[in-house]
Amino acid sequence: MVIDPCDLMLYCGAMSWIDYAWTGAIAASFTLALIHAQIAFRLFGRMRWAHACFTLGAVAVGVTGIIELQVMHAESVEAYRAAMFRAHYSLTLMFVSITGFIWFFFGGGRRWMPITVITLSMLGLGANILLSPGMQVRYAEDVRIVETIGGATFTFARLRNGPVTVIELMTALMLLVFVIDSATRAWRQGLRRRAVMVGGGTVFFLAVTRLYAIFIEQGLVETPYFFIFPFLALLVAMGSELGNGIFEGARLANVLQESERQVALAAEAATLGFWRWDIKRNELWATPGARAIFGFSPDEPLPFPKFEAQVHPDDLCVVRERIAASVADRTDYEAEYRIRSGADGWRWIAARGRIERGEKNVPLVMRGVVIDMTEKKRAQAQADDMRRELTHVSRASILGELAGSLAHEINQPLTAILSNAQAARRMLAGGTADPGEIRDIIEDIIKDDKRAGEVIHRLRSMVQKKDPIAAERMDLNEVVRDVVRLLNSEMLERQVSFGLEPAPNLVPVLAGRVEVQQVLINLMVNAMDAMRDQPRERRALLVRTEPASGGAAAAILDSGTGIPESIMSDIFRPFFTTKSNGLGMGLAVSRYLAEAHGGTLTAGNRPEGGAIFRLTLPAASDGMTP
Amino acid sequence: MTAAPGKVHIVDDDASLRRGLSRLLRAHGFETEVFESADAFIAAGLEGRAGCIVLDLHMPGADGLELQERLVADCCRMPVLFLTARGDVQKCARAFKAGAVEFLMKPVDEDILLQAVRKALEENRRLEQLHAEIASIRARMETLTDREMEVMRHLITGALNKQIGGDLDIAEKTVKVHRGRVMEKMGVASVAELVRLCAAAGIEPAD
Repeated sequence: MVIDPCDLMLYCGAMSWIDYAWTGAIAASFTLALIHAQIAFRLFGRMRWAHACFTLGAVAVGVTGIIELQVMHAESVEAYRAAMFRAHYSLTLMFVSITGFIWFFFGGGRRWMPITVITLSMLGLGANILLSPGMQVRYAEDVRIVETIGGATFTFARLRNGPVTVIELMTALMLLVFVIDSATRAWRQGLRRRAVMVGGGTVFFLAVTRLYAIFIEQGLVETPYFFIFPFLALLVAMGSELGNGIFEGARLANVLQESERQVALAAEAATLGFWRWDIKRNELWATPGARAIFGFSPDEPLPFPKFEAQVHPDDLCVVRERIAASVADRTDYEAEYRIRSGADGWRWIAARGRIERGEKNVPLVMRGVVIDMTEKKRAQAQADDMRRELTHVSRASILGELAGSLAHEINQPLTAILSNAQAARRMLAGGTADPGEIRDIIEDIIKDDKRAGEVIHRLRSMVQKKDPIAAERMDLNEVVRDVVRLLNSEMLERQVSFGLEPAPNLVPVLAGRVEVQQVLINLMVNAMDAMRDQPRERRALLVRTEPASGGAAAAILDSGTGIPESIMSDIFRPFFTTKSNGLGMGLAVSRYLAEAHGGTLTAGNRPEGGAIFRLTLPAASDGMTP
Repeated sequence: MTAAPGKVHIVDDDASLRRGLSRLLRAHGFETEVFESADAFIAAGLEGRAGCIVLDLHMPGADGLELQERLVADCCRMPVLFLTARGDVQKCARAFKAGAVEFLMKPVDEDILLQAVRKALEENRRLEQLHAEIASIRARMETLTDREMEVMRHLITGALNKQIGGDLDIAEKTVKVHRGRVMEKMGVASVAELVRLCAAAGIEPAD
């Protein structure tokens, strides 16, 4: 392609509107070319090549404009023919660039189509160069100067078409088919705007220019070639679509950045960290938050074994098992484990993850989150401590309430012991001692001492702080009897008649003995309190044991006035009490204890009057031994 | 009416404690009898019993205070001595109001128990004596005619024969005869002695 600067200089002598218009259009084309060349350099992938082809197309349009000017200003038939010969180069370049642009812009299609277009263009170009001038396209036979609007003049030629023109037409036709095919494909994929703007535009302008060229060449119209303008319009249409892509990209980048910022913020607020485990390479990727949790520096590489080395040795097995299970059966990975923190500290971590699989279900990566649970665990432990403390205080307080009765339980045997011992002393001193009687006395003393010892033992286990609740297999009937023994004198004192209905063949339950005793004592003392204002003959306390689904239950029935429906939902709330001197912790603690054993504590009213509380405890599994 | 002297009745629901107390008291020479409940004691009957009662405050069925009330109502002369394993000011006050001689805390020491039992038995003896004396006065009074009784009630006001005669509208001489009979039947030598007997027997002077 040769552009003689002298030619351009020449026109400066007598510039008509034609010169201004064409020069402006040429400049615009080259400007577009420059812009898209720069974009092409900065992009990657398919769109880079679309921009490159656009650049070539823009250059071809600019060159076409220059050649059109030369044609218009050709002062001889030879100059006209030379310009027309050059025009074929730019036309070929335009075909090739449009073909490339369409291919890359619409992202592929039938490969044979662009290959055919390019082959045909090359064939046309070769033929045009090799064949004699008479066989070429648009061979000028004679030229004349024609005056047009505004007094501007241009050279018009009578043209004769050779066989090459056929190749050129076929090329254009093939290009049209290719563009229509690509645009249709894009339309079907939903890229309608793109299909119409670029595909439709290209088809329209290609068809129009080809038809108009035929009109000129057949001498049907006497105008210069002004194809630079429709081509420029086509460039603008394509360019605007390409630009849309760039604007969309920029917008998406903004959106992405924004959403990344939000995710980072949320992750930070929740002290969450994200991680990804590349299974094939056995490597971890982790966000700065996750690295901080795992105890890694922000940029060190993270092979998987390095992570495992951070996990507490006792937990590593579980972590591995869970991961393996997730890989094997597609469930989500979920684990809580400790991770090394500092020289000898550990932090509690909770992790969740999900496997992503490729073809044939091959696991590729596991993606997930981690969160530092240390504070939560600590708070939980603290709450547990407080609950234990509360349980103990509550137990101590109810025992305090029962102090009189418990003193009675101990004082009875002590009195017997003292009397017996002093009687024996007196007998021995008075010389009236009968060895048989002394032996009986000693037997009684031993028996009563054991009896007092048992009471003290039961009491001691109740006031001792235990940590944590030790569940054992036990017979609920036996525990109930123990408690009844402790409360015997309290019932006497309060003149409450007592009935015990133990169910035979009760399954053993699994629970903390002291805690169950505490709950039963609480419930029985409450029952006695509830009957305080009843006449003596109506004060009946009944304890019944019964089988329950999954275990056994103890029901405590009183003959008081029952629980008013209005407070039924409140009675298990802490600090809720109807007693003038109550703390309101008894039932709350009792329910907590029942539930801590996997049991339940429910309340209701009896149809015949009075309340019923039922403590249900889970059965001890057969494998358990006390 | 003579009762066996110095018998200690022990009422307690705790068998071992009953045995212990009984042994101790027997070792000190007291006669004892044990009952397992207030009802058992009532059922055994009060007739012919003397001595004292060592009573447990807390028992199934009727408790100690109820038994005490029952005994008071039956004019039992056996003092009640309470034993309790738990302090209770209200019950203690009720017991004393109803005439308990002692309210002891378990476990009770030998000396304190013995002292209390002796005191109770002493009291019982005093009551029995008093009861016997009143009974003999009453028996003597039974022999008086209605007129003699009337004259006696006037005599113990310190009135002269003449005044009595005026009040009863009989001759002074007749009063003198009745007076002699009263003094004879009641076995007294002076009006002062007669006043004492009437006070003991609860005979009110005439208005």
